[in-house]
Amino acid sequence: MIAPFDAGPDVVWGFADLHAHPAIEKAFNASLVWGSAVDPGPLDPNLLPPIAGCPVETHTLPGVGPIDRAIGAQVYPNVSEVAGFAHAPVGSDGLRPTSAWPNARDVVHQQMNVASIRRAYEGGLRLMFASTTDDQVISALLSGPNFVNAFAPKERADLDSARRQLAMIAQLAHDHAGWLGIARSPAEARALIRAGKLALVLSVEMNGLPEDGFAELRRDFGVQHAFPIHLVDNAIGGTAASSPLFNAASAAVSSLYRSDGRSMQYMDLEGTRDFPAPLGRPVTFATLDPPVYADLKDVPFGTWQQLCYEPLAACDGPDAGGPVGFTRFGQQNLRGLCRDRADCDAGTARVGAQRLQALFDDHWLVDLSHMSFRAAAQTLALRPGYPLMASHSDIAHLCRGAPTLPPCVDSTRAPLTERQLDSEQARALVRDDGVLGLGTGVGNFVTRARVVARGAPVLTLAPHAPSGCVQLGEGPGDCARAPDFARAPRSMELERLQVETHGALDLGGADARPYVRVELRDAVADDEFQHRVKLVPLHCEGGTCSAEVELGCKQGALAPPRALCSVVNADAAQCSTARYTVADVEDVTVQWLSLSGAGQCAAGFHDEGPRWVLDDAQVTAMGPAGAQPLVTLDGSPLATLAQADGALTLYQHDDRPDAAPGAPISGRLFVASLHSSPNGKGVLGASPQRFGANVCIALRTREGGTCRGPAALAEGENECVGDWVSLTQRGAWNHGGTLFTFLRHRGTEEEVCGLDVSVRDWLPGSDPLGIDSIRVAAVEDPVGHWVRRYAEVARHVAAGRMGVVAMGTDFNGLNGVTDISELPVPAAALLPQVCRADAGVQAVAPLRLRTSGEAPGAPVLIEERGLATYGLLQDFVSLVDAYPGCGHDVRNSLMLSAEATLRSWEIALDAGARGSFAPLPVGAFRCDGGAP
Amino acid sequence: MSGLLLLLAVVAAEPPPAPTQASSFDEKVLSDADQREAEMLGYLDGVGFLGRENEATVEVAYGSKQIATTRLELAHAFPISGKLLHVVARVGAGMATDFHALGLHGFTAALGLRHITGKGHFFVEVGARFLGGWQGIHGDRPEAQTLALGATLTSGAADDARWLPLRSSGLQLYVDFLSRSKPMGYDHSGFFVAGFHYGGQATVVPPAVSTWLGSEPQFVGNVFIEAFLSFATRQGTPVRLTTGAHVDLSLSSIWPSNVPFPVVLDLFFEWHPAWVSWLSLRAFGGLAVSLGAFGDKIGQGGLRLVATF
Repeated sequence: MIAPFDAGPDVVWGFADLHAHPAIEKAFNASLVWGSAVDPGPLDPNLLPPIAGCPVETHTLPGVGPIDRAIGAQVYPNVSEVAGFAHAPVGSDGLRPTSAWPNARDVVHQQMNVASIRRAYEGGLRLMFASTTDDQVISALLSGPNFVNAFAPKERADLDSARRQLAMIAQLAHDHAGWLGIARSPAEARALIRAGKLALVLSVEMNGLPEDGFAELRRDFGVQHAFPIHLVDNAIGGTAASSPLFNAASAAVSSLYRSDGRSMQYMDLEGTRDFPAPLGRPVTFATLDPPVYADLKDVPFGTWQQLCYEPLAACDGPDAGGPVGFTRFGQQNLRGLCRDRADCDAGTARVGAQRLQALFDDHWLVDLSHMSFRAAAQTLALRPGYPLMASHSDIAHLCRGAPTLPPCVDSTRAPLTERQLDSEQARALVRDDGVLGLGTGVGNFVTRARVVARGAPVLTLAPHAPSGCVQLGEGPGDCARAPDFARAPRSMELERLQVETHGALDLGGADARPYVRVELRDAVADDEFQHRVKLVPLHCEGGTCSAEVELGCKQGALAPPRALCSVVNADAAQCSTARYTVADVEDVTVQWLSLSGAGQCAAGFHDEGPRWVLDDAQVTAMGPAGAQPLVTLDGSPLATLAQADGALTLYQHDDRPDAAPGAPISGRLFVASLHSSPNGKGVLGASPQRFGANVCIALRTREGGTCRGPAALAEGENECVGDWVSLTQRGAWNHGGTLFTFLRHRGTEEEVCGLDVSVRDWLPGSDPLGIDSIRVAAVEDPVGHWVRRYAEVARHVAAGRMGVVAMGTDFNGLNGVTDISELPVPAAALLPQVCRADAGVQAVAPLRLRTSGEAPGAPVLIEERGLATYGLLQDFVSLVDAYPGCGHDVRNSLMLSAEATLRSWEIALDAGARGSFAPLPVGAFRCDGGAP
Repeated sequence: MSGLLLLLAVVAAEPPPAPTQASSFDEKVLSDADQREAEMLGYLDGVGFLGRENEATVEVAYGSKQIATTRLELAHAFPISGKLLHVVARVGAGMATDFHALGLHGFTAALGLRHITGKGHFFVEVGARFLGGWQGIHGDRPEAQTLALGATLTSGAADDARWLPLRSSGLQLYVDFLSRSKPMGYDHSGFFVAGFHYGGQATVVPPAVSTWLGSEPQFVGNVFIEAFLSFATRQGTPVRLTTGAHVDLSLSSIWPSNVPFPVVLDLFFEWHPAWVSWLSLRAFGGLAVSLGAFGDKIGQGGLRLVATF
């Protein structure tokens, strides 16, 4: 066991997870997450009990009918795709790949079995904030037919769901009282931890509770920690604008929370440079034929226009059809602690502030995560000195306001959404003795593109021809060619871009026109968002369409408008002295634009509309130094743009292998992302009647100058064996869906030259699969990224103070957890992190699945499945400790996070406690070792 | 036409006798005319009528999914002395094959209470049906589910409890009604009756359906309705021909979202030979489809032989 850091007597040694959902199986009408946390067998922390076989199309047994299955067949794959994972048939009854569960990116199956919690406890977890969650829109969707006509938001829905989940957590604590206990005060928590137990703090993360809801839950269950705002705008204030899905959910329940009681009111946004622009045209709920299912469709153009989310002047009015330029700003929720725009504008809103003051008066632990920027700022200002918490967030604008020495490094490399806590707000929180939980979500790593191919589609596979490939350059096999995106140097100055395409174009009578859309990054800081957008119509004659996009001056930082639909362009005085360069080109896309009617300003068409078959396309960068091809694409045909497939991206900045200079990427771990055509049917996954097609992928590598594929899968082989990896795990791959998975390569990064795709076990007669984009990128070790990020936050937000940054895993939170580890846990590094007060230390062994027989079950390894189950936190901490440079500091700081959290709680109860604590150590947190 | 039949059946059907001091279930002495009617049309009333206490049913079917089904069911009616009531016990088993995945499925045993009115215009049988836990050969593979759905659609009755591979037993409650008119027509031309036969079953103890994904407790049930015309005599000669339409809808929750609610729509032609009064032969055929997959309808047909003695 690793010796505790000498931080002084009576200091709790163990880490805190500030956010997890052990009772998620009770949320969403007990219909969303499959698998129980409770297993009747003996508890062995080194053996993960399997979950029952997942029925796939339903997560409710006994089944309630085909409508239930029809809804499940739509909802579960869509939810799973949040983490780029298919909804795979998992469970214990054989005939299915065990690698599908557990997995860090599997958000609809249980991640926190009690045995798993026990293993995390053996690994040093001493304080867990056990939280409830729900969303009544998703719950209603899963609960039966005719959702659209029958849904009426209920004021107590979240409260009732919270009660069910809290009852389950209380039962868990009761059943495992030997090592678990619920703490209703920091003193109780300390006593539990001193007794060698895991202290649970009950927490509620609900979209909206009635006015007396928090008090009721404290009275009946002893809840201590609250999220005043979650995923929707509620009566207290505005949520972070970060998810189109939850914009729709916010609208669905708006009648409950707005002071004007209006329904279907979407978020009110204002312009900013501080965050990007994640919210596009909102969606609304519609019936699907037969009229028992719910579907999503775009809001009418008029509604979209009124929301003022973006300048739509390009498609508006008599000038439609000409070149347009506007500045694209980021989005943030206009709402702080107010109930609607009128409330906010009047500045007289008091309900949100009053309810928060009540929470402070009752010494609640109040969480800023999920709040809009304004709501978080106003909350911080309400009770200066009161310790708050941000339990599961990253930090936006890390280096703003940070001391200049040591130089601040922000590894995020791009502006983060409003969902992440602003660094100055984070510093204010820490100054008031609050604590932060660093999220461990999916996709938190830097990538370096290696092979990128796009088309509409780039590959078409069918049961009679189930295999295909893409590769860079020429080589054996009939592979689609992936272009070279790095032909023009990043530093090349630009005057204009020339776009030319060849192919047959048919307007089909629609009021539409082909455009090229160029998006450029303006002269703003790396963590700011301000893009110049140029929309230029293509002039088509014969089979050639072309346009020259004059880029003009490079805009400096502009004042973002409150109304995002304002057309803002820099005047001469606002130009920077530099020109746009190739490095500033974010995106070049050719697309249809519908100029009128229901689909106005949309690139796609639902009905028969224009059809554009592109054989090839070229973008040429032209500047003072001459002309260079930016990208040349040739597919013959390259794309057929029709119906829902109305746009083709020719170039993106992140397509370039030199887009992430200096990133700590070893070149041995790759991520492959594939996007299916929206016009197709995708791939049917498993059901009781079929195993489900298995989509296998493998890297192509250059050997002796030739790009070669892997050894082909044998005829009749339906599993992804050898060098092949399963992308879908036999789950459904929806049309227009993006899935990704990881692959390893033992050689150099430059040897990777393409990707093979092969669909196995495909039923004859199945619809063909179109794949519109394939991206293979070398990826930074996600665990290493988290360690470095922790160190950055500890240094630049907490001034190196240990313990202030805890974990905020959000296990079972439908987000996914750390995708994978590049490295295995070093031999002999898997050790218990804490000595228990009782007789013995549980022997630690690599985690395995429990089987019913004598043979050992499959290993559950973080380097294969990511942070797939709560028990792998033990492995995670061991990996952290082994990280070169800053690993020990990060691990020691984690081990003091329970102590720091308890101190924060004690100060919330009694401000006089501040100053009674010996300061926690300060660490250097220097991760100078780079990639291991 | 169906509306006319419905009207005729409603108008012409003789309701059960109004309760008097004696129960409506008490046996009564029929008049000669009523007795002749009962004997002329008793072939419609099945086991328990006119002292016929045994019934054996054999049926075979085949459809365009190239699935064949066969089923055997035996029944015995135990009379309750002095009552127009019988306790009926039934056992049955079936076999379905797609000529690749043979499955022996559908062991069922039922116990019910059957009441037939004195003249046989109406019967009702209610009871419980036990579904034997038998998953058959390859019951834990997708082919078994495909075969079960195909057998349901092919067999002429959307009673998927007969065909599903079951890992554990279940219990259904069932109800079966027949309601027919009094004879219509004339001595010189002939007599006929019109009527409806309808009912269904539903699980009260869900069986665990065997799938490759694991055992899934599921609701298993179906409802059916038949409308028929039966020609008893023609010009004084017994004819005993019945024709009609049968609609059968499965409500079972096991079927996936792309093929929900299997439904069978059949026409049938039934002959009850006068010279073998205890025999009935039905030929049926029609279409079967899942309501969510109209493009994938199948044609099916078969024969059912019922001996009631």
